[in-house]
Amino acid sequence: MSTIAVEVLDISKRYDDCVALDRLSLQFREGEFVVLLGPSGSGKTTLLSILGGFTKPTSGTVRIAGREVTQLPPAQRPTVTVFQDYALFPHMTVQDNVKFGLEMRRVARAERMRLASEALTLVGLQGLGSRRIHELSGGQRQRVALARAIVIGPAVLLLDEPLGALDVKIRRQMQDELHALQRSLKATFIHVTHDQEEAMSIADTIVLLNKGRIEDIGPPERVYRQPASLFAATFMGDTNLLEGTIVSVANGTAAIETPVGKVLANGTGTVGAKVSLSIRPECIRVGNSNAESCASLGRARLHDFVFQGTHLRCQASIANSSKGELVLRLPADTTTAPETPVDLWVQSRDVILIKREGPNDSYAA
Amino acid sequence: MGRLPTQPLVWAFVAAMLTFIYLPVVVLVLFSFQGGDLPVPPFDGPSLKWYARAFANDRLTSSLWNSLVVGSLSSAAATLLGFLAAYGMFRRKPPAAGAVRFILMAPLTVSYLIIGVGLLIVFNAAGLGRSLLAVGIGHTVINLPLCYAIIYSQFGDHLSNIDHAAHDLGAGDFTTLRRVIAPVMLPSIIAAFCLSFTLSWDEFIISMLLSRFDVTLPVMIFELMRAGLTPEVNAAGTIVFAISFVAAIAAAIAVVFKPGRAR
Repeated sequence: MSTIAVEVLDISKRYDDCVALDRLSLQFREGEFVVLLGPSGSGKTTLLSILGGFTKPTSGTVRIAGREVTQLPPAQRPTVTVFQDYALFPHMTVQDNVKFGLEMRRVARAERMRLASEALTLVGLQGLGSRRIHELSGGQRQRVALARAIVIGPAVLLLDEPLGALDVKIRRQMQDELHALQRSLKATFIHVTHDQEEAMSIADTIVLLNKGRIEDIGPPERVYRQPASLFAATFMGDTNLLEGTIVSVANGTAAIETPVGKVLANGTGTVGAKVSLSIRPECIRVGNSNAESCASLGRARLHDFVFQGTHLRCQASIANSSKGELVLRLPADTTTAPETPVDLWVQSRDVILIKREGPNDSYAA
Repeated sequence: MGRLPTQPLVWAFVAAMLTFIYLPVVVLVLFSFQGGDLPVPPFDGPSLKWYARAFANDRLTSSLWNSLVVGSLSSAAATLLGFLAAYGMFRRKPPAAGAVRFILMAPLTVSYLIIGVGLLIVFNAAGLGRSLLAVGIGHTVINLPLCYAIIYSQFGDHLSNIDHAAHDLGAGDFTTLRRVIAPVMLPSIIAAFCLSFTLSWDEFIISMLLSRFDVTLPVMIFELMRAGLTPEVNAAGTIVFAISFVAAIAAAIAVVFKPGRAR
């Protein structure tokens, strides 16, 4: 049984001319790695800032570790924020940066020393305590910021796009380290990012935000494979969207009439309802399939191959259809010649049925 | 881009401009080393006798000392007040920030004569009268807007997060200011102090209006000149110039060379 670490109830934040957060309610468990994901302007940073105590919500309550903290200043909350630009104190050494929070908590000198070097070891910076901040690389500064935050043992660590300024290779490495750090500290991490790959690689739970509302919330795999909304489907990665109408429903499988023909999808709905279908590029297969759970997407011509290392990306033009342009992600060793007609198929569990309720914007990168 | 025909013209213009600006200074400094009794050509030095005369003049040396004291104390006050005002405007973003900023900067737009006369009237009414203290207060008034503007211009977004981080880690307002913000802002604080000092150092009108028996160096030089033009005035002027020059260079170094600045 796990206890609730962070609870947000009906939080709204309005600025003069816009709504940053619109009546959000969320609960995070103790020891959970949560990623707040969304495009810029989605409200994710505002939410983090409200949790940290730097922004006061217009309405609603925030409870952290069982205590209401809505009106408390940052220092009196069991949270510490790691800022996007690290916000290290440039005039202090690495060690003095890390010891600062302990000093403010009146921890004894010897104990400060011990805890600081422990924290620096934990982030892999042992022996660099006497360095100056400007002597460190971006990745090292990131680690100092982490050490400075975790050294005071916060129940909840808030990370504001902490990896945004790092180059790709160090970013991947830091993702793994963050993940390991969170496991060993057993603290709740709430991490803001706009990078869906980063979110999927570190999160226990993804909270996908758009225009101050929650679009989807769940484990990365579920959010990727079974997105709750059109926005979620389009934001979480490349996808093919097909508009269609349900023509029949039987045994948990719906048949949808689309511009590329009839497609089967897992799910239900009312016959005649307008729906959107999302099919991930890697789910579309080339060749023949006779399995019952598969749906043919018809014959298509493949073109515009782009080799992307782990896979081959290409376009497929469905024959006899003007709107039938699909994106495919084929295994990197695929040898299909361009322009040759091939059969395309997809498993019906990989076809995601999204009901259309009002203006459900998709994400345009 | 600007081909040869314009080039000589440009250089001639630059040379004329530099001559116009610096020739008087060069002449002043040169004739402070004059051997004769008049600071006019021909130059028959070099000699240090006018410097000896200047430093032997008790009224001149005490006015030099007065200027140093007034300059450093009023600049310290202006810098401290300017720094606190800048931090407050940066962090609290008060309501009607525009109006507050206007009030802070307004003294820059008022002529020194008016500020001086105004302060004189106020000090007389308050029974404070004319004194070095009054001059110091006057200099604080005219330098505060400048110090505020210099320091405020250096408060950037990165400092906003540094300020947040210090508070987040448990530091109160005063501790944050003393342990984090002031050290990070030190280069611009030093620059503000040095610039403020140079302005106070050769300020004449307010010093003239608000001082009585103890006077500052510019006022003393003015009195010397009324007695007659000797190279002693040049020597005193050269001392004024040298010290403001050093302070201005120090300000420039503080702004350009920012020790320990991350980035």
